[in-house]
Amino acid sequence: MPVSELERPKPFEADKEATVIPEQAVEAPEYSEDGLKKLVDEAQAEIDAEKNTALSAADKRVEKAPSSVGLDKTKAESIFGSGGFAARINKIKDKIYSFASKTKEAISDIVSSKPKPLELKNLGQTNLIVNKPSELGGSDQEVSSSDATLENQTGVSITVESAQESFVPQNEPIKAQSQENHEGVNAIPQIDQDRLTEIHNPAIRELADPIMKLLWELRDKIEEGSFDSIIGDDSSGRIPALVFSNVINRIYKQKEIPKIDTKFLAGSRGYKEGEERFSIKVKKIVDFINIRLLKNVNDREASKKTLIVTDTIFKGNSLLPLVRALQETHKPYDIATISMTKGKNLGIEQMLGAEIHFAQTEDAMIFSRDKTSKGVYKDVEDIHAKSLKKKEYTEKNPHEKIIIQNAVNEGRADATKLADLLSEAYIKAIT
Amino acid sequence: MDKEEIQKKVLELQKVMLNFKKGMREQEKELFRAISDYQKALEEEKLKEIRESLTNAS
Repeated sequence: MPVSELERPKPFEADKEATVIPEQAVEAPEYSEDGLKKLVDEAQAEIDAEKNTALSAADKRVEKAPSSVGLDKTKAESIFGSGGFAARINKIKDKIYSFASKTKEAISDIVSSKPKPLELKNLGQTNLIVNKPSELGGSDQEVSSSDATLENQTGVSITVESAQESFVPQNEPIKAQSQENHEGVNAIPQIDQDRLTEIHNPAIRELADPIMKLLWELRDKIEEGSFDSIIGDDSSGRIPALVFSNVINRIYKQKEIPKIDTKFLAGSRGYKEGEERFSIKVKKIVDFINIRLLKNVNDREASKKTLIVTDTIFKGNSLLPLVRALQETHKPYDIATISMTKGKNLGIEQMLGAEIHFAQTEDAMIFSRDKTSKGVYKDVEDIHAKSLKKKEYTEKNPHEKIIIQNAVNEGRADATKLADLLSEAYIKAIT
Repeated sequence: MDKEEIQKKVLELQKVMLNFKKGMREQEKELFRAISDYQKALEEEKLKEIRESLTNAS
């Protein structure tokens, strides 16, 4: 029976597998009417089995999550609810129920030859959108949003009577945005959305569009090789700075421009210009710049700039010691931030002494969460963020070191993947 | 139902199942991402706990 012979991906390993289901089904042997009914029964059972396996694997995984990190179950349950994970996971589970149920109905309709009240295009495809019947006013209105229909792809029209849920994959709005941006001469390069899903950490995945936008905005300077260094604002600016550094170095390599030097400095929240501790901090940074940064780049042109990369600028105060130190060392600089919560602000630019390139006004997710993937934390008195793996933070808990190392490794791998995607898109667009 | 019609329905059935599997794969990925995010949130909470206990101890 060809249907049951089809290979089923293992739950939660689907994204790792390269299994390709052929677009065109293999030629079916001849069947009698009874044989067809048997096939339908088998297919219905297979749908239930797929659904149940996926849902039960998910339940087990959720159940094991607290013990896998050594966290109290009650606390984990509270995070599960208050963090919105219960709602998000249940919503996906509902979609799976609904999807399985609609496919079963569609299969029943094939043999029963029922009238088709609603043509559902793209069932199972990535851009399927099905509205609730109530939203359709009870009509037989077609609600698919895609040009590529199931009928076009397979020659089959599927009928359903009661679509219940929107089924829009996570990356779809980003794709729509990228396509929109792609119109026009100065269009921001398009990122490969399918490969973007290979980035596991959502906080890093979310950086793709903003960093692409910033790279494109800075492209004239990048193309001229204007930057000889990057200073990343530790700790939340670390991943964006790493990605910037990685992408710019790939572009420079193509142009045979020397690699940029990348350093990280802890941001300085709570410092006020004029205070003694502000001056001490500036002095520490000046020393750092002279010893660690300018030493590496001083044989290059004096006009080359440092690119300050941070994740979020609220009022700009946390960057003030760094820009004062750069001014003191006569090192020119530009500022790039993922998010500028006040939007374009001449007052802040004047205070920081540079134009601020920003991608969005909403907070970046990397700022508010995901400390572990960066592998560092900061104390305001220090100019460098500290490693989370330091002994005093690991010796009392056997889980911690493993958790941190896994998160850091995953964060690095994701940052590299993101840099791959961005540099490919950039180079393709610029050439 | 004649043979030709049965054959056509068998092919339709196969194609519906292929698309079901593709759709399930997408949904499973989405579910996996959501659970991974939950696990990361738990890991962060655990780290917070550890840091607090170390701060209190010192």
